[in-house]
Amino acid sequence: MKRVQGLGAAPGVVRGTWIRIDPAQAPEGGRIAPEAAAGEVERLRAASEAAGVELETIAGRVDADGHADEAAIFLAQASIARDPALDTMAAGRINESGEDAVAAIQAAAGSFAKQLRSLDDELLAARAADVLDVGQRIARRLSGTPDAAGESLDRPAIVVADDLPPSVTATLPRERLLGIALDGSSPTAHAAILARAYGIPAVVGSGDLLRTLRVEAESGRAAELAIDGGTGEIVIDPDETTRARFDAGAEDERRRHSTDLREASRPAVTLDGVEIALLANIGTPDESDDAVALGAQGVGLFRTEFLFLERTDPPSETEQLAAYERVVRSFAPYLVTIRLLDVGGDKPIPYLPIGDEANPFLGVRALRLAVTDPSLFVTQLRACYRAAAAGSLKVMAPMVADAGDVDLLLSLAKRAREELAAENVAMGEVDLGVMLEIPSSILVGDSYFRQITFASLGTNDLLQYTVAVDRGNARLERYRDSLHPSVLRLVRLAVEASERAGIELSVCGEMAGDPAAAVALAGLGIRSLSMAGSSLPAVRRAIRSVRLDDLESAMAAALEDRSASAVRSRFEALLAEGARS
Amino acid sequence: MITRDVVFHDRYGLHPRAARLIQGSLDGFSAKVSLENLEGDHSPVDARGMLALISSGIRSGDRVRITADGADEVAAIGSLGDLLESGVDHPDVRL
Repeated sequence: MKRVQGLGAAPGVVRGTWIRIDPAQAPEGGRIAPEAAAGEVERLRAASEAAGVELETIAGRVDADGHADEAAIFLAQASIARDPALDTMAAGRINESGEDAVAAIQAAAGSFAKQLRSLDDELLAARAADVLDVGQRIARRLSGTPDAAGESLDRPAIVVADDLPPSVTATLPRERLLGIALDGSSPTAHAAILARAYGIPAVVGSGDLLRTLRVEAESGRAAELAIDGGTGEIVIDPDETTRARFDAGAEDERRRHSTDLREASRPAVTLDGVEIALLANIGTPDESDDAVALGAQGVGLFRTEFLFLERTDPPSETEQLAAYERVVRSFAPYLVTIRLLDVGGDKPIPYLPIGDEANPFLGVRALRLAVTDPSLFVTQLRACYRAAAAGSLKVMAPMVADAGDVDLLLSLAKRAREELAAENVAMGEVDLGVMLEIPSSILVGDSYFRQITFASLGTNDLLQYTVAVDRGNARLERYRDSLHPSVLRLVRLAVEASERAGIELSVCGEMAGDPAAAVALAGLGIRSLSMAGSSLPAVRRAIRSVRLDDLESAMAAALEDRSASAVRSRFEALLAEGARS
Repeated sequence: MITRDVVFHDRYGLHPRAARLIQGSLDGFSAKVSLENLEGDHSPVDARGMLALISSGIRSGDRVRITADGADEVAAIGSLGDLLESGVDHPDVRL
């Protein structure tokens, strides 16, 4: 048994045989006669174009697997393959130094990679690997060399290599890829990012793994490898004890995940029989499937900013409609709650003239933009009403302070409906509601709750606006816990006002995904919680382990507590007790 | 030929994803556009070149000069300048 320590790059524990994958043989460069230069430059351009097309094809495949962010890696590589700067440098070498296209493109890519490494920036240095990867791909197209060398992954195994180019990582057959262990690379390299996206355990930067494996293999050992992608531990020929330890770790993970999936269909009911609805917060349509598998009973918060950011003009109604319909269909028959655009001066958008603001979180943000730019919101509401033809949905406005903001929301919605009716476009029912994230919206809830059908507490901003603390300010850590007694009192006011008006109330802040806070909210009278999909299993178990009457008594005392930590210990104690019995 | 100075915002620096957004903002314009990192000793680089952009060493908070030259230089510099001023950072999704 031998140990090699690397860096954990993608969590998970696995044990099995291994296969060494070597980088594709780098084609040998050569020299050409001066009169052949023009033809050689042409050959280079065709190969670069072919490499660009291949990379776009890989990007398309990764995207189709549901990994849009990772697909962007290959689109960037395609852009490098087609970069005139790379071409110009390589063509220069062909024309002036008499190198052939293979030698020239390798040298040009090497020169750019060296420049990136010299920038003293870990992320950009990791991108140097992309540039070399692209250069070798073009060189292989020029020389007709296959893309992977060494053994092929023809049986389930852990892949070991010095480094794995992202294009190889993305194209390894995933059903046979047990894990990845690399001598080089870094946790920020694309190979690691891809491994995390695909849920494959990976250890990188182990330095000495290939050499140790070779030495061991020469003595007839190194039959098996065990890797822990969380801690970075690699064990060659693990002994009985080590095997048992890794197997137990892998088994724990499998059990946890299958338990989560199995329990997903169980209702979140307290021991004394009160059910809490558990919903998911999502930021893109891609997150729907995992949330559905983990038992989300709908979407309590669908953030729509992904449609609006990183572009120079607003998304069209049709583009929004497609995104909303996709989520509505994934969750049917459960309801989806769409949040209207929530942006402000902290993250200005080219097509929104917000201007410089000293305090963007207290400035013209979200619904407040509709005063000067109603069309942006009318278009979004039109897309919502049209998506509702595929299944009912709810729409809520962020950044509502008082009844005046609700009047604005209702008038925008009316305009959207009237326009669609006049154009004879099909639409469906939309429930209108508000986010409660500004304390005033709760304090004057009675003045407008009857005009809407639901409200949802955005506890992150509610905390920030109540205690006047910027969430991003690390020096104000003490105020970061949403279980602050002031927030609890505001939630209680919201519960009371919503009961008087007969409207639904839910919580969609991070508080809902924190087991101790989630049961505390139940103790305050909240019956609907929306959270990141990954938080659903733990919150479900927490709710099923406690009695509502215990939560209510604990909450009565908690409302008198002097600090969030005092409140937290009460509910953590209840959960600990629930877990024991 | 016109120029515009902006401050670059992206906590990860000018990485490939940001570079793709910069390229995208210039799609359809014919003007020659370059970016120059005004912090330290740098030469202008082609704003359409992936490699030039990611090796430009531009980091968040750096002042950057955009130079555009061509028939549609005003529109091109507007498109890229607005993108850079608004920040190409990943959206920090808030609740």
